[in-house]
Amino acid sequence: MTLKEAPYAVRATRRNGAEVVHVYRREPDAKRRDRLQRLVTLGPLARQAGEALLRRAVDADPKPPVARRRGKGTGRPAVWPLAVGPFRAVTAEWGARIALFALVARGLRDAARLPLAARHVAEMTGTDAAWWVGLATGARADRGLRALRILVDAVA
Amino acid sequence: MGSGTAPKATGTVRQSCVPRIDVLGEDLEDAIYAASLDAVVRRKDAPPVYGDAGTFFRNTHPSQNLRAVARSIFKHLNDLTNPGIAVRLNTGFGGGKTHALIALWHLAKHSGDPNLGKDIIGAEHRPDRVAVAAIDGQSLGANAVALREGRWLRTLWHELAWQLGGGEALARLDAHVLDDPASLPAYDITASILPPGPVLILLDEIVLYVAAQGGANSPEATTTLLFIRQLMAIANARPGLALVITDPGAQAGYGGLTEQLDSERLRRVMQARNMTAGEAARAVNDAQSMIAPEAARAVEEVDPVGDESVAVLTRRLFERIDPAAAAEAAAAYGDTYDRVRADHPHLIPAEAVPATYRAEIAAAYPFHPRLLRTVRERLQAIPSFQRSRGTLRLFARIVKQVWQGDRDVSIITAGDLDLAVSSTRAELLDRLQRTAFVPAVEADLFGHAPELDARFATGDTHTRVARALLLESLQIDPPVIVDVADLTLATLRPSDTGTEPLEAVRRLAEAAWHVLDLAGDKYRFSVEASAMKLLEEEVQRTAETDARAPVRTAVQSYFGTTPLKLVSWPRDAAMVGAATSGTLVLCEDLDLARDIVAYQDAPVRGDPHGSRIRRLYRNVIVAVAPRADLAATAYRLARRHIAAQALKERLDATVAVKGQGALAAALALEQLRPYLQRLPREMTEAARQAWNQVVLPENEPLTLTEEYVTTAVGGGATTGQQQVLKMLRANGLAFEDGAALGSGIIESKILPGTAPHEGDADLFTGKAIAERAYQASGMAVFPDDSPVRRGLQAAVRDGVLAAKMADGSAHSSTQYAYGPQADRQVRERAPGQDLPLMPVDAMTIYGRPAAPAVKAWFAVPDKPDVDGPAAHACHCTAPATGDTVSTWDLAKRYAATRPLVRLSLVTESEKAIEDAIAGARAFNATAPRLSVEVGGKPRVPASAASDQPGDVAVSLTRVKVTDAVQLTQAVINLARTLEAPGIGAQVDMEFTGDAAPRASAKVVAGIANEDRYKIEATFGPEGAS
Repeated sequence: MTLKEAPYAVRATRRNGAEVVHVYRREPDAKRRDRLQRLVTLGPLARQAGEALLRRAVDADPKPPVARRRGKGTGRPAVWPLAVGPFRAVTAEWGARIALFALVARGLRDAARLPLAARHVAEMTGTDAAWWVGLATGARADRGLRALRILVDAVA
Repeated sequence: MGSGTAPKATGTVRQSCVPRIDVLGEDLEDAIYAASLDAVVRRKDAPPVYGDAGTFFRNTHPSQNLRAVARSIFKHLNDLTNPGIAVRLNTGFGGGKTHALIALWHLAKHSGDPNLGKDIIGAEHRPDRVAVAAIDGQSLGANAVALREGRWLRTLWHELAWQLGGGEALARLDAHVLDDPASLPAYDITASILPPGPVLILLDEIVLYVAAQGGANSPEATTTLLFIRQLMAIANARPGLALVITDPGAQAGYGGLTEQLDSERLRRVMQARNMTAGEAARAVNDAQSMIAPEAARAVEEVDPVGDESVAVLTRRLFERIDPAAAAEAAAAYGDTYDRVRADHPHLIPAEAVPATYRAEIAAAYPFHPRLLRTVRERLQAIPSFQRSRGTLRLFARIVKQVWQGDRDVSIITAGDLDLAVSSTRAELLDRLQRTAFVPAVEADLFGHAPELDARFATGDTHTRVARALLLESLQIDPPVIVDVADLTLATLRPSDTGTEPLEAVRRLAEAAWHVLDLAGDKYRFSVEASAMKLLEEEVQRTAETDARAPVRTAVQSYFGTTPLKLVSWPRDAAMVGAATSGTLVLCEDLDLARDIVAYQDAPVRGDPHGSRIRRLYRNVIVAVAPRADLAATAYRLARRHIAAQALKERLDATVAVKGQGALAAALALEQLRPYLQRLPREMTEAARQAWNQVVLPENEPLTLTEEYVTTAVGGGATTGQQQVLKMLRANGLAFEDGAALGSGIIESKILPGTAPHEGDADLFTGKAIAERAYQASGMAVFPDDSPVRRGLQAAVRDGVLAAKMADGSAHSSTQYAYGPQADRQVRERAPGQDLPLMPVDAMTIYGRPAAPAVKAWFAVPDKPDVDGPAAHACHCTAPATGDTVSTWDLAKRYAATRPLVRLSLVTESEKAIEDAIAGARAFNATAPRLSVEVGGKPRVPASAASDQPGDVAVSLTRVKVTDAVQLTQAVINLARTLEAPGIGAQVDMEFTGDAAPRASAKVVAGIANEDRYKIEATFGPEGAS
């Protein structure tokens, strides 16, 4: 899957010395073009808590793009660890999970609960995760997000 | 949720333990674990681990029982004044008897060597020299015991004589007794073959020898038994003699004795007398029943391993085990169990609760005590499992596998038993006669469990849990039910939070084909297929194409039919007409959607690049297509749902018959139930999410993001169309409700391309303007014509256009004109006075205000001398003020000069109700009221014609027309049930303010189908407004 085809993408960057991961989703931009737009960011703590989820997400692409310059290595870029800088395409199913976990984790600081939430999110089907993303980004996002955080044990 | 501190990191078994070299050897020969006394004593070809005394003692754990038996025997060997001893080693096959005999052999042979075997018995307790003889019954032929001095000895006593006294003793015996297994030597002769001083006689597997001799009906076997009885009697009388005899006993929980026999032993018995397997088995059982009472005469019975099997095992397999690492592992696991138990008491079994369990972990290290318990309680209950050598061999395989595997572990658990390794698999499935589990292993251990691990990113948790569950389930008689607490104990790691095994086994029960959920968090690996396998088979029988229909239905139902007209699943662009109303097209794929919004004819077969007609009204069409991967998910779920329903019907039928398989069917139905409840919702939701590509003519496809798809929360259900429009509106790609096309845009972009009306470049029909708007580039989507109508209203208000309505009235930004040309009335429009919503039909003409034709709309002809109706040459007598008239002619006459205050239209036509409503619409009254009367006789069938059907009369009185849609439909439906129904409808309208002169103008201009209405019109005074 190329970035042009990808419904979701992630990109690691450094912020204040720590690594954060931005989650991008394909949606219309200001010029009404379908482009990857930043939806939410996994902060350093959430990024650690969601490490397994993130690795699985970037690893799940059944057809990763071949490297531009063939002849180097296997022709496939290494999917993990996530290099700082480049975008990495993510499937709809795993993109929804990553986005959902990032939405859940946004603003939370409980290091014990975040991994548990990540596990719960990883267990969701892609369909369920997308449904929750819709709820957590829609008109009554606050209510949806509050319910979701309780359900995935992100908060007591 | 777990709590407490993070678990302490533990060292790994590879770091802290050193396996013995033979365990990691290239070829783990069975001989290494199958001790043979004959190989040590007679053949001298035993592997060093048995044949070399030094190596043997290094590998042998000095168990309490072994030390006790050695002490007892050597005490009697040392004591040349008191009677000797007969000892019976009594365990099942593989119970460690032979190992004990070899230990005694080496101790006796090296009795004077203080460095050997001192862990078992110190040199100070041993005589300097012991005469020792050992016979392994399993290597004896029925009539040939051993080749000695160039001849085949045929009896046990001859062999003993040779071993204890050599050729000289043999010759002495020959002088007194025949070498004939059926001729028992006299007691004294037997006693005479024993040399003076300490003598140790070891007899192993005599049961097999007796069986080979023919068992109960054989005189040779009987003689052998009598000889053994003699030996025991001598041992109990002669000082310095110790006799050790082994027999397999009758262990509780063991099956028949012969089921414990390995094929090699049975083969030897069969060969001895050319017996069949059945005969050999019977002979062994006979032999055991003969031997047991004899052996029972022994003064001591000893189980050489006792309860120290763990130490025996670890000593045999490991050169070195770091006790600090064992203590560390015990602490880490103990802490983990305490922590998990605090949060989830039901996940940790009672055995792991006491503090002593930590000591058990340390003692069993590097194995987990639960693994040892499973082997002891589950595998050792399987008749074909050999207690000592089977356990030893199995654990040796595990150790080798862990040391050669990819990953190290902190402790070896049942979850580390990798059945992909052929030797482990052969050990557990082939040797234990559990090959029926092979399909289960292939499907679930190698298939579903790793798939679940990958899907849920859980490392190898599912695989470990599946392995542990399989190991527990190998005992099938009676079948084992495994509690989730036991599985947790068997597989939990300190790094886990605690619920991983529970979650894994639940998922396995849902996905795997042979994992049965027995309710109450109890599970079992089953040879039989679970409902999941039946479901998978049913899925394979379900055609992929069948899954498309329910997905399409779900999508079509979700998108609904309003406010846009829905065109579902066209095969090509030609199937989507060139409509001027808002249209939403549901497409099967993205390419088709692009084609449909771009063209309005189908591509020519064989000439796909041929010239095609571009879609004319492109601003009223939206296509929606799926993302291929998400659609595939929806189809997969739909296919599964169809299969689940079919399977349910099949299982229901099986249960109903109550015959064979009804119980299994009921269990499968129970497993299937959650799927039947869940799949429809999942399929519908997946289908909605899949159709998320919105295609417009001038845009690349846009993604309908999740917030526009999620629905039905808190009763806020909405349709897909509304969501698509919401997204388009949020991005400025569709007109909002109540939005208008700007008058500037109408002037600059729309009018220049609009077809002129009747050749006049300044005049346009409303229809032509709307059609031009629907074609223009750079426009948003028109969900309906209201943006154009509002735009035209604004254009008239702003002076860009003037409009002439179908009734002849005309509007400009400043004026309002009405009445026939000969009697045209023109009024100035008051500031702020609103305009009606402009029609976009072919009867309404719009023109640029400066155009001559438009000016003519507002031109007032020269007035006749006399104003008003009285001046007309008319036969009627028009009332002066507030009069009511009841003909169209009079009404038109009055309407020319007076405002219409009240109007009633009465119709009795066939379509009376529709006509009445149409009349009300023609006058655009503020709150028209509808009255309807329907009467007649109900239709009755011919057969009941003689009955009196009665009469029906229904009336609606002054119902608001806007509220009357459903009521009038009900009345119409009622009328259809009547025989020759009589229908009458009347609509009453009142006009005030500006509406009154407009209504007058309408009367003057006339309305459609005027002749269908009777009229009653009331006019205000002339000049009033």
